[in-house]
Amino acid sequence: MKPLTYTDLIAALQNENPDFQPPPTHPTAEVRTPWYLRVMLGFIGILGGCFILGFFGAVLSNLYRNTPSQLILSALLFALASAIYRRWRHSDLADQFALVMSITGQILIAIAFGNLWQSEPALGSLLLALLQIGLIILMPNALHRLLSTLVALLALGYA
Amino acid sequence: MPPPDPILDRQSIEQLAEQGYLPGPLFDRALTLAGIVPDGARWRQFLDRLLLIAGCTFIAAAIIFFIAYNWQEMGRFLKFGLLEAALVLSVAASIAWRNDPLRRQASLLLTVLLVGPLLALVGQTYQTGADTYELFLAWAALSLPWAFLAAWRPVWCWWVSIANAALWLYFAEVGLLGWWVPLIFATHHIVLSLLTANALLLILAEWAGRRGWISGRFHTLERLLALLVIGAATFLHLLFLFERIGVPEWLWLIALATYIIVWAAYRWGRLDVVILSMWATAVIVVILCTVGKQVLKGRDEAAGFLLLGILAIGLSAAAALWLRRLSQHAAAKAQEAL
Repeated sequence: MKPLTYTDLIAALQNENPDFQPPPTHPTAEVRTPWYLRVMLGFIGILGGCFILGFFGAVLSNLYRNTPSQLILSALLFALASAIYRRWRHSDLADQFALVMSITGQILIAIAFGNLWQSEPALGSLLLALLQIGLIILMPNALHRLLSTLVALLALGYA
Repeated sequence: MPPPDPILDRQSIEQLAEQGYLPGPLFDRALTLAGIVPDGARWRQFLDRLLLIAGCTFIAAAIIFFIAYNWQEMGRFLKFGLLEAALVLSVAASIAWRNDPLRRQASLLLTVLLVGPLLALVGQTYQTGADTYELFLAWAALSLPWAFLAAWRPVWCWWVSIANAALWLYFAEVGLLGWWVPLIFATHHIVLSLLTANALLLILAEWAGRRGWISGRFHTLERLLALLVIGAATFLHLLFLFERIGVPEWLWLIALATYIIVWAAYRWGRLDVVILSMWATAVIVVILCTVGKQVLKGRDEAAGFLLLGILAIGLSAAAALWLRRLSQHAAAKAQEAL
């Protein structure tokens, strides 16, 4: 099957629907993120998240022992990531920054859940899965949604 | 430069829908017109291929599990008979389907899959005392003619996995023989051997691919081999960085030369953005580790971690920009070729 170009599609749609209003410009290929780019960005994003977590751990000396701090910091990081995703759509730098912030928050909240539900790890995992579903809704980014889905499935499997 | 009239994929159509140009039924129609939602014929073709390949793989798995589960009840002749009959039938099927490339290649995939269990059965029945690496080595050697006959990337990918397992197990098992062996085979020797073997195979795969001697879509064989080569080069570099004792200085030069050759080959030779994406990931990891080793030495760990985090974000964003441009360039070239 011959691949369909933008002009072919507009012509076909106009032919079938005379009322169809074509867009003034064709979609910019700039925003396309092929799967191999998502793998690269996801992998480096996780690595970057670990470094930022190391930074917070070094600045706030008792961060890893203080569950409320972990919860507050992760909520702030999620809010920051969500705001960046919504404000600067389709910017690689902003997207990657938001992804790293969100991953840092997710690692922190996973540690907090681990502390809170030490005796009931299944409940902690279930809540982590629910949190990921919330993040899928909150973060308007395909790569973030893919990663959240994977983590949610892993957490559900563990629960 | 993006192509003036880009080929549409799902994301482009979704983007048009998000902008409000393709409400409800028009969106579905656009997906169908672009061939993203497959029609009946494409579904049939897809299911045909999927069931054929899955069927071959499951036949091999079923025979192995059947013999393993009924090990006590089955005599050795029955076990050998079952495996050898399946092997002969798979070869016969490949001859019978000589004019149907996909079925012939799938039959040969089954042949290659069955060679290993047959060798394992020989080892178990007659207690040959062979090491595990010898099983994989024999499997790779005896599968080679079938892989040549199939000339199909999925079969060659399987063969590469067997050959790599043989090489890896050889070093792992020989390393267990005695205290003197680590002096001969240090970790970097193992990684260097894997790098060399996979690099040679990659050159051969590219050469055969250009002449059209191997079929199969997406350059899977070349990409698997490139992943193994880049992975080995990265491991060598990390060994040089973090395990200085007994690790020669020239290791990083080999890793550097590998990165330069892979970049030149897949940027200026055959443009392959998937391989360049693996390359970019490896280079970013190496840069982060090199910088990390320096900045995390001092007392100010917080600044070091922050720098590494920012570096990871910046480098990956820059790599994404570069790879996206290359991807557009590749799409434009593909469009011109149509």
